[in-house]
Amino acid sequence: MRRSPAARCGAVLVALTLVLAVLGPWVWGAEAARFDPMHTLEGHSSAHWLGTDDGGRDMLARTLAATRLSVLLAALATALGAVLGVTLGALPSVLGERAARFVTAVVNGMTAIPVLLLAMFAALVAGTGTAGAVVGIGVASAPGLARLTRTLAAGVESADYVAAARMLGTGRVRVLTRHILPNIAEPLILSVTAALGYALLGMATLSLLGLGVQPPDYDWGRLLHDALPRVYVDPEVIAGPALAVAVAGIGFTLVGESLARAAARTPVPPGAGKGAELPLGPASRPGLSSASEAVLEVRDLTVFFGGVTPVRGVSFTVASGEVVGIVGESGSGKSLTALAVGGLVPYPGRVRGDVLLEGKPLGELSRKELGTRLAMVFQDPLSALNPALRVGTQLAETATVHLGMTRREARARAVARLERTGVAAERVSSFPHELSGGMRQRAVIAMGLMGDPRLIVADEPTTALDTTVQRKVLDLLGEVVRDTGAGAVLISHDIAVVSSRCDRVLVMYAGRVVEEVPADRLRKARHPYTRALVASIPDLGTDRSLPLASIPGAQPVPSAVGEGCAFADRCGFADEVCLRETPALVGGVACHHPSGEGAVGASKEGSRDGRGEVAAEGSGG
Amino acid sequence: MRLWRRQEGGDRAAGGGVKVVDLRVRYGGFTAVDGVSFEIAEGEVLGLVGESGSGKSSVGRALAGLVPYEGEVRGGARTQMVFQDPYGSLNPRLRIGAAVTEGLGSGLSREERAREAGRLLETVGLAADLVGRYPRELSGGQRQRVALARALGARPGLLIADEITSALDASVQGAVLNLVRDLRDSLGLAVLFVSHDLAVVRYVCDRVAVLREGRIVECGTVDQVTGSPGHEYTKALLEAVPRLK
Repeated sequence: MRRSPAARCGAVLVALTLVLAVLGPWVWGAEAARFDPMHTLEGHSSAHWLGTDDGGRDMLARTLAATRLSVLLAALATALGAVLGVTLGALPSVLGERAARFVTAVVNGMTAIPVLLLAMFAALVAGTGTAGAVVGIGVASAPGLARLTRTLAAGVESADYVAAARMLGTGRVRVLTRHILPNIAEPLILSVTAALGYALLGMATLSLLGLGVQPPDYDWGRLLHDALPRVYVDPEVIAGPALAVAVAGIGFTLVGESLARAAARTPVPPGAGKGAELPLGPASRPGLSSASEAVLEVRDLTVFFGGVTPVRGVSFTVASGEVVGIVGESGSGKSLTALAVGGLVPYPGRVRGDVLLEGKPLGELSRKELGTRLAMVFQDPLSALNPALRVGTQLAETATVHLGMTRREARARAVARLERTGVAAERVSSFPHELSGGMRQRAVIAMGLMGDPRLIVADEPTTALDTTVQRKVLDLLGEVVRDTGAGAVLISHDIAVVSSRCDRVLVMYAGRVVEEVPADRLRKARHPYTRALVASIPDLGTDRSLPLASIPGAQPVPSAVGEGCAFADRCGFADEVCLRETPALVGGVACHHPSGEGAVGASKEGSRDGRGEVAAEGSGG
Repeated sequence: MRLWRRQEGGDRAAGGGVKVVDLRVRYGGFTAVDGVSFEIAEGEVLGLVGESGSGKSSVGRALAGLVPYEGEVRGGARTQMVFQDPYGSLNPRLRIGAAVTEGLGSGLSREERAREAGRLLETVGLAADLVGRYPRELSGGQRQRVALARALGARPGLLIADEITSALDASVQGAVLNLVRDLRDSLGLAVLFVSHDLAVVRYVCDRVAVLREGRIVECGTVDQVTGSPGHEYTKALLEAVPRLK
């Protein structure tokens, strides 16, 4: 794993501190304790680089020798804080409702008290001296950790597996130790590491104030305390302990925080780094401009994320007034295809191939053209709408920015478009959260219509909606396409939705189009995957006396797709050729053994336990 | 959060099946379930259909003891529930074997536990040697089977399946639905099958209750409700089911 400079720097500082903590007292212990009445309270000299203290002892040696005690005390304080904090934070998970609320309130109240104040108070209560300071810093760091523990635990408590455990009669303590703590341990350990840095500073502060380590013991804070009165005469005498506190404190904090950041980062998908050499943008190849009526032409579209290729050479066209469906399971690459068509593939994804909107490469379109010629509709309308702006204002923005309309004209157009999509005109001044899910999706479609879209890309536009609402929104999409003559791409995991609303359907599997088929011929599809998919979905006419078909195994993840047909290991027809050669999309189907017309219905073969074979009967074709 | 209260209600001896009379669930001032009554016999799957906000999930959560409710629930001892999201319903830090034996209590030896884990996994059509795996190594469909196995380990008098296939890919949905039917037949399980998808409900269930705004508007056998619906709302739901051309 590559480390950031901050993490590397922190690691070096921590390593240095730990080495000194181990070696310090052995190497410099004697020197640090040696009284020299002839040379008390001296400044810098060649014998004593950082001067001497009131006993004539060398400050540099004392600083280095103090590392062990300083780090040890900080570690003790942190350990105490961690035990106290985690216990306090976990307590509400095992208490009754009222007691839990009380403890949570106490923890929240304590986080409001300034940490140093709490530390000093606790140190005074526990008694001046080393033990008091450790208790003080430990107690002071507890509320923060308790609150973190509580927040993390509350997140896990709402998980379904905790609900399941409770239904199974698992006791509260066991739920805590078995389900909650293991799942919050990682972030907690990281916070404790960072807390070590703060404890180091805190201990030094208390000792500096005279509340901490007492002579003859000394830590960095004590050295600072003793040298402080001389700071204007011999400033170098405080340089050693001050620098040491800074170096160690910064080191532990940096390491803790970079560990936390590394843990928060999403893992790199497996197999990354294999065969990545294609940093190309959407290129326009001369001589390929389409002569047809196609509003969208996609040629050999490939999307890379590092060495992983979730979309592999997808080609299709959408004609004016045509609705093309893309259907596939999660991970098939259908949504990334939609994003690539909109030029929206997120960083660090890279796109290769041609996307031509009305014959023009996507890369050559201005933002204005893109904003008015292409409309995108996503699954979650709430994320497509700005929650802080009224619906009408957002719609009008498209017209003022891209079409140069005045605000009044733009608003009139927004009202007209909202009404066109079945949103009442008075909704124009509503906020997105005031609309129902269906109304929101209508508003998003209206937003797409503010320009003059030639292509509408709808990615799972109704997946989050109820079926009755879904139907109306899909009706609306159909009407819009018919009225405007725009082309549309409708992407869904639901083959029934796609088939009922589209002219043509592309079936995607593991990043490739495996079949392209007119929607009304889906029941006579030729690819074994399409056939199995169709057979596995119950509808209102499914024979209830037979088990439903299902496909054994799972779609390979993008990083695991290699040579050969990606469906081969789930396919009843697969042979050696399928494992060796990737089938090309020929005549609408990418299969070495496509079913012929005659074999329709063969794939109704069921698998009662999910391990059976699909379409076990003859391969036809 | 009052996740703890578990109203055992009525006679535990009744074994399978459940009778629910005038069930109400309130969240503050909002009534999510408003007087729902139904009965599920041993070896019967009752479908509970409705749109979002109809209260169907609240009915399930109430019967599972996860939300407080009013009303009478007879039977339904050791009610277990399987959730929609196969990724959130298994503890990522627990091996499959430990997950499925969670409900067995502490009275069993290590070997008995291992044997039972294998048996439960085989009941749901998984290989017994999955016991040592972690949830992340399993597909969505396999996880949903593990969640079923875990629920079966408690020998439930009532199993609640809350949208258990709606997060699954189409190609594995069928296998899970088949499994629910098989379990009903082989174990005589009483199942409350909560779903928004009438086509799925029609395939899996014996009877269907249609829920709207916290009330049952229609209840009958699957053939009655999907074949000749009596209520306008049911008709609208059936109309809206997307159909393959």
